[in-house]
Amino acid sequence: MDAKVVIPAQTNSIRNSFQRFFFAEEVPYGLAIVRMLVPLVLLGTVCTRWSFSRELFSADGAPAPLADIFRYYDFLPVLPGTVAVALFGALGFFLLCSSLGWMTRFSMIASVILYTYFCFMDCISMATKYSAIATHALFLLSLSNCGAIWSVDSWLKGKRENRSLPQYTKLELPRFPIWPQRLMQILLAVIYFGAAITKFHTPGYLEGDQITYWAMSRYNNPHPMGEFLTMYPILLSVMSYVAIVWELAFVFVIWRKWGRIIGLAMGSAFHIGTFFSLGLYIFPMISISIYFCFLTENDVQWISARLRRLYRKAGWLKQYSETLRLVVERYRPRPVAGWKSPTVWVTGIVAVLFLSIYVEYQQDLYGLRRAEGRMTLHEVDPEFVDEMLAPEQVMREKDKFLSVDVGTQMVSGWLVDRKTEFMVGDSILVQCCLNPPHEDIWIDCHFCEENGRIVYRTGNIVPRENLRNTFQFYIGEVLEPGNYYVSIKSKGKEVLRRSITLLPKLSVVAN
Amino acid sequence: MRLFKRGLTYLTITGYVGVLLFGLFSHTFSYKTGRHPTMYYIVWDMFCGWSAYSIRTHIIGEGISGKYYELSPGPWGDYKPYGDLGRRHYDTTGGAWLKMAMNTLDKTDHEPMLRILCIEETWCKKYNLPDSVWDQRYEEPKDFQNYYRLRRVITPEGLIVQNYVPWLTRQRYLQINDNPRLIADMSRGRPFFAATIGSRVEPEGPQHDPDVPVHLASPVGN
Repeated sequence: MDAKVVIPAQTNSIRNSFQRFFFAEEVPYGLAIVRMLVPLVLLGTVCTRWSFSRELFSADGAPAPLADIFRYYDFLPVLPGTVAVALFGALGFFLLCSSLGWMTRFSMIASVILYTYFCFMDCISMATKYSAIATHALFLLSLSNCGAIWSVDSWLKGKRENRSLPQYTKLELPRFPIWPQRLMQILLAVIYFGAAITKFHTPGYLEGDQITYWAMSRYNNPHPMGEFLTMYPILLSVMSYVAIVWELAFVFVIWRKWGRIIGLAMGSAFHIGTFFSLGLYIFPMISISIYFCFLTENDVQWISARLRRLYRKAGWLKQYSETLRLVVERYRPRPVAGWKSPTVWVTGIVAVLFLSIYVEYQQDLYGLRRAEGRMTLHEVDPEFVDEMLAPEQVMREKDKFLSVDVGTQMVSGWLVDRKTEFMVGDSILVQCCLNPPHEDIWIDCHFCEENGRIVYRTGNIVPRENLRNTFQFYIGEVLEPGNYYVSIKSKGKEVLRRSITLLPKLSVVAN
Repeated sequence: MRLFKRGLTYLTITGYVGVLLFGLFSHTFSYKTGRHPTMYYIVWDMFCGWSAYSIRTHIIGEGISGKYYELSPGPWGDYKPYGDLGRRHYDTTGGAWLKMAMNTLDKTDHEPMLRILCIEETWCKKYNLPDSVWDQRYEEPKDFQNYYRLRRVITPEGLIVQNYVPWLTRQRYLQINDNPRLIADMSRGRPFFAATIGSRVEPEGPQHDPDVPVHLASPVGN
């Protein structure tokens, strides 16, 4: 056994700082949790795709290789249907083993190779940025000793060592240099910094326009909170600012205690927010799982101390945990020889390969072996086809406009107090929001009585790069209290309307 | 052995961090971001912009009987990767439309096909808002309008014979061209490439017989 490397802690030379940063030794608690969570999440994505794997990834389907987008045709071989199905099933097995920590190193390496291959095979439904991040995480986990604790491997190893070593070694958990953990932390920091750069490159991000349109889209899972938030674009704008500041600051603050806590708390809130507001499910799960790479040995000791204190105080907890321990002990297998685990693992792979091929053959995705013959095509309604093949349609005027709002206060270019009732003498702001793309456009804004008579008319040119224009009306005392409306017109057509009520001005009561 | 292991570790650390930093640099300055497929794994452009319009894709085949058939999804069903939408709707570049259509034709019984049509459907995203939100934000009822545009025509043999820009690109083009001054300048400054600089105009080639129809190599033109 190698002697432990002594890293000088006193001097602050760059070399020593580098050594301390990358080569300090810790029990890999954080990476063990990442190992358990990330492959488990990916296993879910693999399971949902498996029954379509022939169509998505093989030469017997319609794969969409990622490399084709980059004009690298035939960059990777497209496998025959049966081979792709078998390997995709094997990927699920390797991910499960990685999560359990069974033959961890081999399972991780196999997972990263197969997962990367299948992501490369289908850029439409497999390769996304969360899969790219997960690939990095799997790669770094495969370099680490994440299976040294809280794993089937460590459990089996512990059983073997118990027979040959003194009892006290059982309590001493293995420690390793933390460089794989550091690389994962750096990866996250770089990802967030890169994401912030993307946001800088994206016009309309800080104003909240982009998030508004994302929240209106239905490309992801349902997200009712996002749709509700589109009514409050100023909130989306504020959240956009907070997100970009957090992403930029992450790399700088995450290395100190409170910076780490605040950075990770904000990150978790951000990702959970995308779950509810944008309908992203897998991305937050992957990201928050990887956050555990920031867990240090001291954190685990602190949590353990708290749990022990709770354990001592709460008798019922002690009773339940004792019962649980007895159940676990009852099902704990007898010690196994060193060769048995790899043998069972290899047998498992072979079984999964054959089972995957057999089940998929029985499933017969394309229905080629059905008794009634091949499937037939679904006919499309001719009227629908006529509608689709109609002459070219030009964008309607009303589709160039997103909304019109009326109020009195503006913050950061957005109207923040939408109102329908105003006092005579108020200054009214009418904000008209446009959808991109639109040409340089003249917008008429009419202030009308209920019967349609125009009281006041104004207009403005909105250049193509602008998505908002605000008109201001001063409601003088010449106007009678009552019902009015604001009409937005483009090319002579009314596209949007907003009703308002003028209330009489409150006067000071003479006493 | 230990020195070798330590050296390998140093190499891994510097190599990995270097690759990440190159991706960051490349992305920041838009330098070779599309150079190689592996760039996808180091360029973190998770928010490249969202359109104000929803887009869907229809892939249909026209049989010799004049009937039209759905070619994606195939009759065996649709895979929905990220929500309620089928896989074809996420193929924004249309790179896999041909494969999807040919795979369906290959695996089914059907009459001979005349052509395969890829059609884009677009609508303004504001109409996606649920009624509860719409009623608070708008006084008008939803006036939903779909825009369709033929994007690609493919022969039954898998040859792409017509290809058109997306509807939104077309609209942007129309909006820019709605400017007489710009059009006049454009027609005056039409670009050309002088292949034979300094030479005189070449003699006219043989004239085309006006009675003979011109075949533009489109087998589905009729």
